[in-house]
Amino acid sequence: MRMMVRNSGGVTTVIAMAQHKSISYEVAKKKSIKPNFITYMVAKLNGKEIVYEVTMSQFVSANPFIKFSFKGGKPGDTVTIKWEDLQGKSKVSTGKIR
Amino acid sequence: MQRRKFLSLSAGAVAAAAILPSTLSAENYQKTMPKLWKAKTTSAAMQDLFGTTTTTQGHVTVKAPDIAENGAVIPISIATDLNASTVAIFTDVDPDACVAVFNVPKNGIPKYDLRIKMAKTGEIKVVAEVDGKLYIGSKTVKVTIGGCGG
Amino acid sequence: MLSKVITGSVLTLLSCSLLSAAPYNAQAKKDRAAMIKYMEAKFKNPKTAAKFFPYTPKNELEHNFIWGFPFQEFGLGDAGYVKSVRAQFDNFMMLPPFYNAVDNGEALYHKKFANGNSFATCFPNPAITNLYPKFDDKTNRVVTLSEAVNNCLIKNSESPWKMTGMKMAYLESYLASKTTAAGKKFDIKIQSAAAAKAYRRGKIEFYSQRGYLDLSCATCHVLGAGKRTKADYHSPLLGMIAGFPVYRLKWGHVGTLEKRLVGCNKNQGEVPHKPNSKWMGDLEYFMAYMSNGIKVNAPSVRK
Repeated sequence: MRMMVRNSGGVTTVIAMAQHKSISYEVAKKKSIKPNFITYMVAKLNGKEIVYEVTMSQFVSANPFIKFSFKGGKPGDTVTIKWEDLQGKSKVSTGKIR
Repeated sequence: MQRRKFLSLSAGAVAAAAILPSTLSAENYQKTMPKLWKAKTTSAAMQDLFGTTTTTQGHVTVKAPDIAENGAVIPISIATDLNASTVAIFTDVDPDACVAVFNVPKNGIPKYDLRIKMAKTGEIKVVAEVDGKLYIGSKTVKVTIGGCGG
Repeated sequence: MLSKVITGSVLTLLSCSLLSAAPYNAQAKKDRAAMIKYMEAKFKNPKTAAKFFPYTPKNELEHNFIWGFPFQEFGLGDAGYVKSVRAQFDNFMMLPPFYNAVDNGEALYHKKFANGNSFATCFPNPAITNLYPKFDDKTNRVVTLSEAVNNCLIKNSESPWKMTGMKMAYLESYLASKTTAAGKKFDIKIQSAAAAKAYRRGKIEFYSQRGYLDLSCATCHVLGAGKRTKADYHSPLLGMIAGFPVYRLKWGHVGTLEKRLVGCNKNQGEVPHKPNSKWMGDLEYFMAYMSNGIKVNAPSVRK
């Protein structure tokens, strides 16, 4: 996952792009393969406080691009983003606030 | 999941729902509300998610291109200036109406960028839930057949 | 033998003096200057635009266009002059969808061939996208970047790559990203009579009507620059080559200039020319020369 973390004026802004092909139910049916897409993403500050949370459908573009911000965070803190997909796979990426 | 139903019951119930702290949310609506993602219209999806379809116009901005470069990757920016606890994106032009649902945590700012798919020209509707009340904003995006293939 | 040498050098001196009055790139320079003048005038402001766009409705001219943009932004294609396209372009470039391609290209650049060499041996400085195509007097043909990559492979006893394939696109993405980072502008050279002829052939190809739709490249990309085909605004010839390899949203991945040109051929309704053909080399030579002075801005994103 590509992540860019910026912090200014007490607000942390995160831009990220997860790598995940999106196979919709329709395409899965046509090609006789399993449908799969990211269904859930959650971001935490220093592994503890949830600062962002989204449930996604198959209508979010492939390789989901997200941008969000939250009050808090200071240089040295970490932001972790975890995604889960329809088939149950998950991945965690970490970015540091400089 | 059950608290959604509380909202449509009574004013007393609204107070009860407001007590639930949102830092404990960690709710994956694909798992807790599977029916929501099969709702075919925005109204049906809103009924599922919020328990009501009554909305107030305003306080929600939806920025999206007038004409999408590609219907599979439409960049949108949504925001509300209110203290929303949930923000949801709907559209009636996709096979199912609910596109994404954001839970706004305690220190989260209800301002998000996302890229979504739209099967054809239509409206993106964004609904923000604030203390049991729903606010709505929308934007029409044209999805066209291009001229040059290759 | 000596007389042959003397005759040879006399002939060379003669031909030099005959042609030194007009450098080989003289006509090309004139063509480019005229093209820049036309394009800058065309996209200058909505008031003078009416004569260039006789059929475009006034409110479209007023609302959809970015007028009088800086010269270098011709390298952005239709994102240079269409407001809606530029906004989406800027959004995509926040976290470019082609970052994978550049990483893959870098790996390919350093990967060792069987004989221990690598692309780094052929191209020690990867910031070279702005110098291609070149004209090779020895083989008397235009050498595009893709051809130069394949020449390197062949020289090192490796199989050449498909010019429209992914490996070529990845490697060229890496080279282009290095060239862009170095701020290099296109600097195509025409330094021989044969090179001038190749440029001229490319120009004729660009302006020739063909295919069952009777379209020339110029129909859409010179006369039609700023106009639409359905909802697609055409990119102008000026700067068009600056964004390659390009991540096309339609493809969902990066592709080379050859891949796109083959696609254009098909859209024009003709059997596509081969990517390593003289036809394609000459055309790219012409197109690149016309973008001299424009910074390489690649990989990039287009519809």
